[in-house]
Amino acid sequence: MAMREITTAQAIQEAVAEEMRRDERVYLIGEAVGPGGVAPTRPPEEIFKEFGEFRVRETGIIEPTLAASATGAALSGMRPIVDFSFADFMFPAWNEIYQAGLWRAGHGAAEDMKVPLVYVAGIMGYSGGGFSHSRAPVANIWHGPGLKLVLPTTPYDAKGLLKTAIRDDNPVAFLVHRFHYPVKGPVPEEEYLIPLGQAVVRKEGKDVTIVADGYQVTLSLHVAEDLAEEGISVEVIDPRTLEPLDIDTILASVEKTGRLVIVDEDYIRCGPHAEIAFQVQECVFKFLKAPVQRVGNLNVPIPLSRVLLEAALPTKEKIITAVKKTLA
Amino acid sequence: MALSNELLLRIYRDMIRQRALDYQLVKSAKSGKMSPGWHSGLGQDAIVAPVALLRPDDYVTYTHRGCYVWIARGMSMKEILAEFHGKATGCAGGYGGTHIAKPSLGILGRSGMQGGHFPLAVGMGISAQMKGKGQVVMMFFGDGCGTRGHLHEAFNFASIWKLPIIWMCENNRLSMSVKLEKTWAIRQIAKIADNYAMPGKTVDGNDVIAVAEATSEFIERARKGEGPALLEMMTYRWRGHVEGDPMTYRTREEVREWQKKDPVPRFEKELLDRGLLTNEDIVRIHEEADDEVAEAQKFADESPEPNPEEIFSKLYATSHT
Repeated sequence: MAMREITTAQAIQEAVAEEMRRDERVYLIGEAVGPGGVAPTRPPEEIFKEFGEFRVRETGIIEPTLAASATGAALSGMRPIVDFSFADFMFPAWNEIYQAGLWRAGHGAAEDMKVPLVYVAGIMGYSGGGFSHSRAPVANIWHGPGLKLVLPTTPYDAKGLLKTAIRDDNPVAFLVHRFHYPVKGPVPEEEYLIPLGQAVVRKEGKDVTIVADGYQVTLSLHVAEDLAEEGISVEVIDPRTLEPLDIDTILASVEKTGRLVIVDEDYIRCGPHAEIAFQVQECVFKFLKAPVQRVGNLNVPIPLSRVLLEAALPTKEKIITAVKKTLA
Repeated sequence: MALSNELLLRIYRDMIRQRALDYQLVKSAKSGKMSPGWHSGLGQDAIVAPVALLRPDDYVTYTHRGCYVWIARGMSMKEILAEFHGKATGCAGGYGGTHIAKPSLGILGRSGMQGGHFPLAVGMGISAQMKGKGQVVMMFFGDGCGTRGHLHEAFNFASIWKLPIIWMCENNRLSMSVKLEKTWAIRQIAKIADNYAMPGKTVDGNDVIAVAEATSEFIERARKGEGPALLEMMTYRWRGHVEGDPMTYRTREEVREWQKKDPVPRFEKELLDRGLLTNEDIVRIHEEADDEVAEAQKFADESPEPNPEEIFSKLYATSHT
């Protein structure tokens, strides 16, 4: 395939535009999706002109309406993409976001009703935005029955996974970390799709397994490099989607290494770490050589000061400490 | 719009049918055989009329109260009663209960959070607008849930984009046990329509003809792409918020006064005066409705339970485009 280097942000915009061209039921809606906006999916000016204001619909501050109108539109035959800009802005709409997931099974899948929609949002972690502008609500979404959850970490994955998410007949939350938006990577010129539910081994190793998502994949890969110099071989797994979760790839790795560290930017308490750790011990308990470690946001509001921020959120040093604990 | 005789008779027949079903749900809620959570709509029966004006491809959202929408839309009593009894033959396979759904009739389900339908209706309105086939959305809400912020978001958005939505307020002056005086700063909710640059109107919600005429005007506007409108129907519920409600917040006299304004005999008189019905017809229509209810209740009682082994199978659609 012919490749070129584009950023994650461009990959996302390409995916949206391609799917809107392919299927006239697809539309984009959000507060900042217009040409002057700051939303991750914001198409370039010419794309906005191509589709017009009905299919790239700029709104006021109406998160509950963004989330629930997507459900209403999806049930009546459209395929909306909602852009919340920041993941923090999903919080005023939790009822409506959960509802999207509950709708189908809650109504017994009557007449095989479907809720095809995508909620796109940027995780603004490490931004110094304080307690309500830098959260990573991964567990919040994963907790809700009926939702799918995608956390792309490369431009290639962002495009292929978003196109699949738009074509999926279920509600999908698509969370991209702000640090990844400007990162460039190879993306094919040709069309491609990536199925949901396939993890990727980002780096092979034999001593310790790290399962990380979002920006934590990037941090964990740096950790793996540093620890290689100390003779510690770390395997880094990027699940790419938590729902569906490719637990088999994680289990195979833990069977090999016997040690597991889980890194996610959400709060540790009742966080995604706990769910992954539980599933692992349930299946491969006898292979574990040490207690599972987890690195995440301490159970405190995310502070503003750089010093406090580093105390609260995952850092390379904290991941290294966790890896070494499994080897102690 | 002149209401055809055929339409008026259909409205009447559906009023009687949904009332018979409502009485059965009151009874069943006490029977222990179904979940006790029935919110009777007895007294608000004229709401059948606006629904009867819709096209088959329109969308409608309903409140937790009454069964006027489902019956007027053409659902069978069997699939409704079976659903309330949690049976596999219910319209939602026993998963939904009060969350009735019949997508093929434009009934796309129910948000259990009061006011949840404001933004859902917006989505249906976006859909109708983009498809460009003149479909409309009829969204019902009570004065109780109209105090949610969702109303503001949805009214504002729908007017900006001229979405084809008719906002239908069932103003029965009660939010569970709390009176309108404590939930709204104004007495006539239709007044707020002005602030959202849409037409608003208050009508006697127990007068079928008045409700139907006002609604048909708003439907016509919406179909032409002229945007949303708000109709407020002043009405009253005879029973409690939910079966078992001791109703200490109002007097028996107040209920009796409103029962004198029962929309059913009032509409009967109108139809008798117009020579569209005879007293024999009325007796027959009531009997047919009672028979239909009895048969539906038997169906619900005898229907199988859902299969717990299928509980995960409903969660995700396995399809994609």
